[in-house]
Amino acid sequence: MILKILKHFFKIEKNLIGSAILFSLLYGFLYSFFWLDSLSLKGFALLTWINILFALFLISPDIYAPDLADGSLDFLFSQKLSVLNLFCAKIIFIFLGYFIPILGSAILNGIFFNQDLATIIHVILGPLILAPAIILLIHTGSLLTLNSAASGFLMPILMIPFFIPIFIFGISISIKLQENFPSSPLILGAFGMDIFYGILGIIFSKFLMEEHFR
Amino acid sequence: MTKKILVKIGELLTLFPSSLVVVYGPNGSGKTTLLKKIALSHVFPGENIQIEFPAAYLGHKFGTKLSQSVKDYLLFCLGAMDPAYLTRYSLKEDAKIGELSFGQIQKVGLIRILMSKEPIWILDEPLAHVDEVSKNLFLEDLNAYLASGGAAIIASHDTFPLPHESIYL
Repeated sequence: MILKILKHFFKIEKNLIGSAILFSLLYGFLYSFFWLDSLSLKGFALLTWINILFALFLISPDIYAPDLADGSLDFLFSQKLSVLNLFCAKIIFIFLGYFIPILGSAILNGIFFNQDLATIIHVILGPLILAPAIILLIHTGSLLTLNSAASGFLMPILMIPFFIPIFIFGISISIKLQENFPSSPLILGAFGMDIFYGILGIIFSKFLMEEHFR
Repeated sequence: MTKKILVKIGELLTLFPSSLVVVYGPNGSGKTTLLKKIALSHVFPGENIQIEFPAAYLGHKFGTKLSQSVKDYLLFCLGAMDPAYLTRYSLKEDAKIGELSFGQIQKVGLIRILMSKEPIWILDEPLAHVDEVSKNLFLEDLNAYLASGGAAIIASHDTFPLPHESIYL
């Protein structure tokens, strides 16, 4: 069932994936005019993280809202699809459909910024390691929009304070990896953050979904 | 011999095989909410709602995406498609949902229900926007379904033309 829904999401949401990538590329392309030769590793890491978070915030309200509006959620749940199975499909979809393409466009941005390959890989590793934490937060933010009269970006914006630790931690991973800093404590810390945000995100998401259908 | 109960909601509603219950009420009386609660009660258990089997549920909106074709929608929902139903209801399998009228989209939903093998149908205003010819076809199909042991709960504003038990909200 999860695979079937995942396939369906990819078929239906092509436009949204395209806009996330386009936004990501455009953003990097514009900035490349300003810092083409002078962007430091720290600057590049910072821009990459801002870029990723912006693109994900942009798509966040549209993760569940269209499915709710056109009755897809009602249909799926009437087929006895469990809430956790739906979350699994959505989280995998966000990762494969949005997160990976956005990371791909971050690589292209790195090329625009004249960064060497090692730097690009190190910068990309930060968000990749922290992907579960980021995606679960975006997922929870998108469910907040379902339970609120306020639409659009307002509710996901409430998630920003929760992003700050991930953001700071992610940038330090990217920089420290490049400086050959012993990385295992940082990476272990990142996995800890993934587990913490992951568990909290699932519990909170489940609560929000049940609250909506109660 | 006691009849098997398919759906029971306290004293409000009891649904048996081969029976049709029609929920009447003015706008905003809670017909849609009630039907949705019954249909989703496997996943979100509601107070007092007992349902024996999964139900085929048709709400006001039922997951059609504008870019999908009729065939894609039915294949996603049911895993199979019987072109005979499409012919019967004058629909084309390669027509895009976004190009169909409200009535035609509603007919796509009705076909999905007809093709489902569930023993309970829960239908919210199933005949809304549908033309007279298709209405009569659907009533024939519903009658055959009830005769074969199926059961249905329908929300309606207008008096439903088949024999039924009524609930007023």
